[in-house]
Amino acid sequence: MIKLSLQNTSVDNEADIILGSALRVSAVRDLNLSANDSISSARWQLLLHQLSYTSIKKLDCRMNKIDDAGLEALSSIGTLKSLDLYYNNIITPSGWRSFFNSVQSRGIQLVKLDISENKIGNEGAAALGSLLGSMSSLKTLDLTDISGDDPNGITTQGWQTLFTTLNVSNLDLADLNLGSNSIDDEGIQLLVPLVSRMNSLKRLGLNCNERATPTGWRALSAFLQSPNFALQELHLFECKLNDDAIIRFAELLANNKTLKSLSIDGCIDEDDIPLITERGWEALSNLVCDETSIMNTYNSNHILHDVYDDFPDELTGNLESCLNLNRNEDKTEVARQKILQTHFSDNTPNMQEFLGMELEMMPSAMAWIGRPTHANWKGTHVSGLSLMFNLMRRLPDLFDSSPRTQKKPSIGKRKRVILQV
Amino acid sequence: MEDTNNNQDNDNIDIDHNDNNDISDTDSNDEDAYTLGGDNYTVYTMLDKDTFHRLKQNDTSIIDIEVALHFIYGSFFFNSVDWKEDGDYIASNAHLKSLRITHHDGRPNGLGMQGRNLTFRQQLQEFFSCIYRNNSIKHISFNSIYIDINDFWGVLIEGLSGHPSLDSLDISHGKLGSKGCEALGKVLEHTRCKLKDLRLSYCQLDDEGLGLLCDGLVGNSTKEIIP
Repeated sequence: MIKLSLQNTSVDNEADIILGSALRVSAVRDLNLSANDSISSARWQLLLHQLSYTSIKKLDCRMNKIDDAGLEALSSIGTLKSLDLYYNNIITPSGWRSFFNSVQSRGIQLVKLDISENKIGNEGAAALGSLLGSMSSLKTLDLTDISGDDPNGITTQGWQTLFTTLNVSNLDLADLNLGSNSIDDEGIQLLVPLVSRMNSLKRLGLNCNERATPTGWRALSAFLQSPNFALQELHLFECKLNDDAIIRFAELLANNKTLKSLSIDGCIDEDDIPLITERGWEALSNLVCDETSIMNTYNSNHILHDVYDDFPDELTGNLESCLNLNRNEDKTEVARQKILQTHFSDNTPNMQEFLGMELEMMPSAMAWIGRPTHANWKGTHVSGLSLMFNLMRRLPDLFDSSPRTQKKPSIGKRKRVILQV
Repeated sequence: MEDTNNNQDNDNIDIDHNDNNDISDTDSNDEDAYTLGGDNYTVYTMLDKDTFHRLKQNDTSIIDIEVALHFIYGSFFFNSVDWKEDGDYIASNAHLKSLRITHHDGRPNGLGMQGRNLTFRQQLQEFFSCIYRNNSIKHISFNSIYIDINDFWGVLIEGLSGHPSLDSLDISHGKLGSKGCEALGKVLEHTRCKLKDLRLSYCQLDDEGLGLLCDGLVGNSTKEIIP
């Protein structure tokens, strides 16, 4: 038995003795003991002490009554790689500090750590910074909601200190969640060089950080310019992002090939007035489909597809439709669909592009027009048949199978437009 | 031999930084379950006649089946009229990897099987015997099947002893009782036990049940593993 899930099993009285002694000799390496709040703090201490004699690698202890002493016992499980301690709110900042110091002194190298919804305080944050600086193995770190209004929450200064400490570390995370905290503008500015140095960062959660102003969020744009930028998800919902920040983001994402999700729901001011208006939506709309020319449409961002859950129709134009197109993996077809839908729709077929094309390009262009329908297509998919029909009507010679008697059209005067197919 | 096996398995522990360990994980009857996998991953929520036929023909595309037990007008029925045939088709398919038994019932407390007649209990157990007869199934889920007939789980689990292919078992929300825990302990102790993943979330284990289960866990760790 390698993986054992005993989540919310209502075990109590002798669980520490029964389970602990069995696990000591068992082969279990992945153990889920979350939400067993029937086990008292004292029992947790005994059970976690027993686990220090095991070779557990992955331990889920979310939502339990682990206290400072229990946490100290947990720090002696030297084989741990993944640890989830979400919402163990009995633990004090002092307990967290001792735990982080113990883990560091024992040289435990975690890959995943979740301490969200705990109150580690500035005291714990300082020790966490020191620990993380020594933990080059860590890939996933969840620090969601560890500020709050509680006196034991990390303050804005605590975050600044933590980021300053980490700026001299080699931390290279893949997933960092800092949502629902009290990170302010200065904190954002200190965070930017930290995340910009990370080559592996795929997901960054900064949502619900209401202390940061539009100025602070605009500073985050420096991260988008980082040569190491490999982010796939950036969560900024319920933050004070305004049009200027969104426009700057849109400029910098024009050639980005990684970011799939930029969640910006619920960006409102103190009076519940939306901070993102027509200007911001238009910038995003142009990002995913620049309609000014065929080549600009072709060169638009075809990666970003997740921005908002419930679009206000009057503000977003074709943004939602283009984001849906971007959900498809075949980016060549995404570009083709945007061109067909924008420049060659039934109402406004822009035939001049084809009529002025060099003759030798025409077979490629016709093949491009006549590509078959995609299976499992997400979003609107239009056929090129209407365009083909219009082309046949305008250039009947091309489709005439009877012997040629007319003079070939002059090639030299044709406009060169190359559609890369 | 045991250590060698354990070390090998340890390397396979999933410490995926993107995994989702939400507390609701055990309630996995969501849409994601139907969209996992690639072209060869097929999920059927209803065992219709076409599925029966394809099962019977050993169709290689059917590797995951969800059998929905319905409860209407005071009695259970299987999607097919002939539940024995359902079981036989499942038993004889050599490509099936995953079998998930769920229930479709509008009532918030689930099936509430207590007091159902003996005939129906035998029908259920006979249907479940298809699992014992199938040699390819790796994962079985009885997640959220609220059957609390006395000794039902004990008899059902006991039949899994020495299953030749089963390596993952999910009985979350099951009211195992001491008989069920004892049977599970025996399954773990069996010399041919291949179980690597056991999910007992929300099973309301008491000290006696936990002790019986842990006896099996200890036995499981010391048994000689037969490849």
